[in-house]
Amino acid sequence: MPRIFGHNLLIFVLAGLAFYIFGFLMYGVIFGEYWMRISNVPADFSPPAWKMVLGLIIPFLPAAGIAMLANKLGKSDLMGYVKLGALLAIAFSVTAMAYDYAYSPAYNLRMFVMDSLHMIAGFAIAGAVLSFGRAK
Amino acid sequence: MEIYGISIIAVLLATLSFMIVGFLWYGPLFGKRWMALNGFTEKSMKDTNMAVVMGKGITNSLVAAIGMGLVLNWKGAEGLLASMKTAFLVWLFFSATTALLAHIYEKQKLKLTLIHFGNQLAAYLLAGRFSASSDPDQRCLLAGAHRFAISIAHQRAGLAQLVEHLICNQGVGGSSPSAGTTLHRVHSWHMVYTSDRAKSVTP
Repeated sequence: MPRIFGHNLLIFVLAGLAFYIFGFLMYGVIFGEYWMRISNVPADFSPPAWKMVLGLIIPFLPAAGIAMLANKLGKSDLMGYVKLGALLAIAFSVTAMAYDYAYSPAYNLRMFVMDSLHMIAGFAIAGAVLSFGRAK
Repeated sequence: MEIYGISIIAVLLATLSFMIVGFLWYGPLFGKRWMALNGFTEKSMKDTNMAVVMGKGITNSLVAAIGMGLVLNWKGAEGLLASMKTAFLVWLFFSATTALLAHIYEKQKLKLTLIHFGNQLAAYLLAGRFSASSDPDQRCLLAGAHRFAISIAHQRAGLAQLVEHLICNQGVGGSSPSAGTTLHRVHSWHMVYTSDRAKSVTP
C-alpha cells in the first residue's frame, strides 16, 4: 500500500476524516446553535456544493503536514503525535485566526476561542490517528 | 543565543518580518480594499484600542515565528530554497487551510480570504527565510531591503534604525527606541494610514 510521508495511506485517510468528523460534531451536533448565535450566520445557511467538497478535502492538508513533520522527527508514540498536532495548530492555525481576531471586530472572542479549540483538538486528533500508521 | 535550537535573533527577525509584511499588506498595498470588504469606517478605526491591537499582533507574530523556527529545525532546512520551500508547505498545510475554512463556513468574502492568503504567504516566506538564516552578511542584506521598504513607505527613520540594530549592530545600544515603542508606532502608523484611507471609502 502506498505511504504518505511514511504513514499508511488508509490511516492517513482516517486521520483526515477524524478531523472532519470532529468539526462536524463540534459545529453541528454539540455547539451548532451556539455557533450560529455568536457568529451571526443564519440557521438556514448552507455553503454551495463545491465548498462542501472543499471542506471535506481541507482536513487532509493539516494531516499531511503533521505526517510530514512526524516522519521527519521520527515520532512513534501516541502522545508525541498529539503534542505535535496541538503545537502546530497553536503556531500556525490559531495565529492565522488570531490576526482576524486582532484586526476585525466582526470576529469576536467567543468565535476565536471556539475556532481555536476546534483546530487544536482537530490537529491533535488527526495526529493521534496518524500515530497508528507509522512505518515500522 | 538559542532556545530549543532556534536563534533568538532569527525569531525576532521573523517576528518583525511578519509585522512589516502585515503593515505593508494591509496598509499601502491592500488597505483600502481590506477596509471596504470589512465595512470599516473612519470612526470604527478610531475606536480601536491600539495598545490591545498591537499586543495581539506582536504575540501572534512571535508565536508563528517560533513555530516557523521549530519546523525549519525539524526539517533540517538549510539555505534559501529549502527554507522557503518549507515555509510554503507550512503555509499550505496549516495557515491556508485555516483561512479557507473561514471562507467556507463563516461566509468570509472570497476577496478578503485571498488578501489574507497573500499576506500570510508573503509573511511566511520571509519569516522562513529569516528563521533559517545563519549568515550575518545575508541578514544585513535582507535588513537593508526591509530598511529601504520601510523608509519608502513612511519616510521615517526610527524603525529602520531599529532593524539595523537588531540585525547588524547588536552590541550598540541606546541610540534607538525600544522595540515595543517602535513597533507600537508602526502599527499606529498603519491604523492612522488606514484611517485616512477610510475617508475615501466611507460614504
